[in-house]
Amino acid sequence: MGERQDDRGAADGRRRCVHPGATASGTAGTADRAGLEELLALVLRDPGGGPVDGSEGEKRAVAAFRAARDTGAHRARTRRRDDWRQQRQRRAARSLRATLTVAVASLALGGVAVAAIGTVGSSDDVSAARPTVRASASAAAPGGHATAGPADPASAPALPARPATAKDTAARCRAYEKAGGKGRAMEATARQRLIAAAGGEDQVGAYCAHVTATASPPGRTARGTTPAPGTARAKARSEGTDGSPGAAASNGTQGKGQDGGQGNGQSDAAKPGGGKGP
Amino acid sequence: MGQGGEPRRAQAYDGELGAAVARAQGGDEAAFAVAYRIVQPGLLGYLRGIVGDDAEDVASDAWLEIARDLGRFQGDGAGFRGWTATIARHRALDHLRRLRVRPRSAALEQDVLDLPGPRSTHDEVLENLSTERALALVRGLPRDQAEAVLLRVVVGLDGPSAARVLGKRPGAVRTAAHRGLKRLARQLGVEGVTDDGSRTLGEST
Repeated sequence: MGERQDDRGAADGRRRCVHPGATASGTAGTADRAGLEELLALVLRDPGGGPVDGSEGEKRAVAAFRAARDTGAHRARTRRRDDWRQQRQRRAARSLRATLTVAVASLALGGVAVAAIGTVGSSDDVSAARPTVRASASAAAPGGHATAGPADPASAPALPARPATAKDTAARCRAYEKAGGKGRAMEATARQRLIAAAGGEDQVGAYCAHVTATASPPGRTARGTTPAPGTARAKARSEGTDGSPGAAASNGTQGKGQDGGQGNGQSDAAKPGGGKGP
Repeated sequence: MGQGGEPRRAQAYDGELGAAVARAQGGDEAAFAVAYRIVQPGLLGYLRGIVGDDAEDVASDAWLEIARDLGRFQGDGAGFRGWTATIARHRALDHLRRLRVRPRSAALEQDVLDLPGPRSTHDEVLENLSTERALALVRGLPRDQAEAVLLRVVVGLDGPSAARVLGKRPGAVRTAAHRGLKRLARQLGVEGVTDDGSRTLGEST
């Protein structure tokens, strides 16, 4: 405020004429103002009332204090407007809170990242396990792989990319099936992608059947042993619907079915014989 | 200048006030009474400047809230002044809203304007200045200036605290207080003192 005062003093030409030097006029103004403040404080701070009136209000205030204390109101939480600690303290408290928030947030994000690593790792496991299963299957029945149907070559190069896209494609397929092949019901982009992936609109059905079959591991092992791809598809399809409680499966239960399929994939890779069963 | 005069004087009590508040928060009702006695004069002066004769009632309401919410408060003596002033201000604004009455009337300024001669000294002004007249002068100021002056000078808040009570930027409140004091000085004729009485005033600080 002192600098302000100096500025005002400098702006005020009259004072400067009387007192040479901005600082001199500044201190004079300060003294003047301080005197006025003191005067006002003296006159206004203790207006009229008197001690009797004060003690009346005091009694009331103390009674209210006692009531609040005895009812436990004084244990209430401090709100922001009740925090009148020094700016520095408050800032320190705030920065502590900010630090904690950042720490918690980074932990949470870190957790997500770790979880993501886990997901990628597990799907790698699946795709790593897959060739062995496939190899053994094709070794057992040499013709099986060749008869796997038109969609199979498309899925063979797609296999390395499977971890990223398999779920999407499967989801699109389910949506496609649900929509019954009618265009509007499905989101246009997703539909276009699915058609592109299948290599033509009329191929979508077959492609989807294949994707569903490969997404659920029993179908994968079954495909190797069964000579006709059609039955493999049908089998996979039926298994897929068996996994969900109702025939008219909602999205939620389909999602569960997918998760179950992944889970099976891991366990199934360990014991491929289970897939060959009924 | 802002930190001079009254705020510095108020700080002398702030240690005592802070200790009393801390004890009161621990449940000591005598300490709460001590805090009341330290804070009430300034609070009442401030409220008189806003709501006039209803200040006692408004202060009473404010103290009920202060007594109830004391446990929530965090801070030292100076902080307690600010906190209580905020509560008092809210009660005062509620009161005004209920009454739908302007805090100032133009008639006041007429009484106020019979100024002393421009050459009167600080002591003469002090002798002649009654509470009523000072109050009338302050209430004759624009509202923001009056509140800024009262909070700074009468309640004894520093700039940032006064700004927080008023919900404004510190710079705006500083300007308002400055303008208000300047206008009061002119109305009281204290400004004339600057030329011939600056030496005495300089010593008085």
